[in-house]
Amino acid sequence: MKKACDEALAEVYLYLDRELTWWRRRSIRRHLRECPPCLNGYSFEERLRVVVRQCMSVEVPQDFILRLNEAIRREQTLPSE
Amino acid sequence: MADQANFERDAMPYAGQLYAAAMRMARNPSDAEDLVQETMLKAYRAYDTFTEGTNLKAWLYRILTNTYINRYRKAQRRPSETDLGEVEDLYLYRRLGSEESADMSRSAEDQLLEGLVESDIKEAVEALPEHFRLPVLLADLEGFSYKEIAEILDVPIGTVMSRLHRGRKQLQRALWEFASRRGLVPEGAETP
Repeated sequence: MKKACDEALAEVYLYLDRELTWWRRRSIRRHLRECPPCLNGYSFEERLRVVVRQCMSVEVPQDFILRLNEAIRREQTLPSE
Repeated sequence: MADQANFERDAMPYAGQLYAAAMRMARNPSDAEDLVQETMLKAYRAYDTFTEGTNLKAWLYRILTNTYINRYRKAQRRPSETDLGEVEDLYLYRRLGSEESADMSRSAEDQLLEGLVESDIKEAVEALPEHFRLPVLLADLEGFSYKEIAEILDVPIGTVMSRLHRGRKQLQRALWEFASRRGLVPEGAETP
């Protein structure tokens, strides 16, 4: 594997976390365009993250939000100390 | 300084997201409701200490996370930290042999990603030690930046990065085990 590949793969999480400078992002994107194995690695990590997010998604019970709103309103009507 | 009169307008829209985060942390609806209710009441009472124009979402998550940690620290099981000595980055991808044969392996990746079921993923995340699990949840599920996570958890940014890194490795290793039990990995690659 080339040095460019090592460098690109070492930054896969920083890239997906959007923690790289724009010029580093740009140079990685350039590398991915010409390197299918690295692109494959990047897209695998990205897909894995989507799968995890889907499996961990939570439905919010609307009656809870209503009850919470009421609790905050009750708090608002309390005299302040 | 923020005005309590604006709390409902500014902070309440985050209630749903906070509930989802609390569910993932505490793992059951009644604890999640308690956590969010306590978080929002604390936030309301302390709202005049919040600096308007700064990151309200991160501020609310910080209260939520602290509430969670304080309440559950005592009851906390401590899942074991796996020895990650030789676990490399992109662990799953590399174990699938995808590096060597980019064109051939697409199907192996699909098989793994499509074959893992919801309970595998949930169990794998749940098995993470708490100091890894929280950064992973905040980054991968809530989409916070490293800087925001550092503020929420009140640890240096370098600590966030290393916990996140190790947490993700441990997660991938657990997922590999589920995948091999389900026969989702190529023959000959079963043993981690």
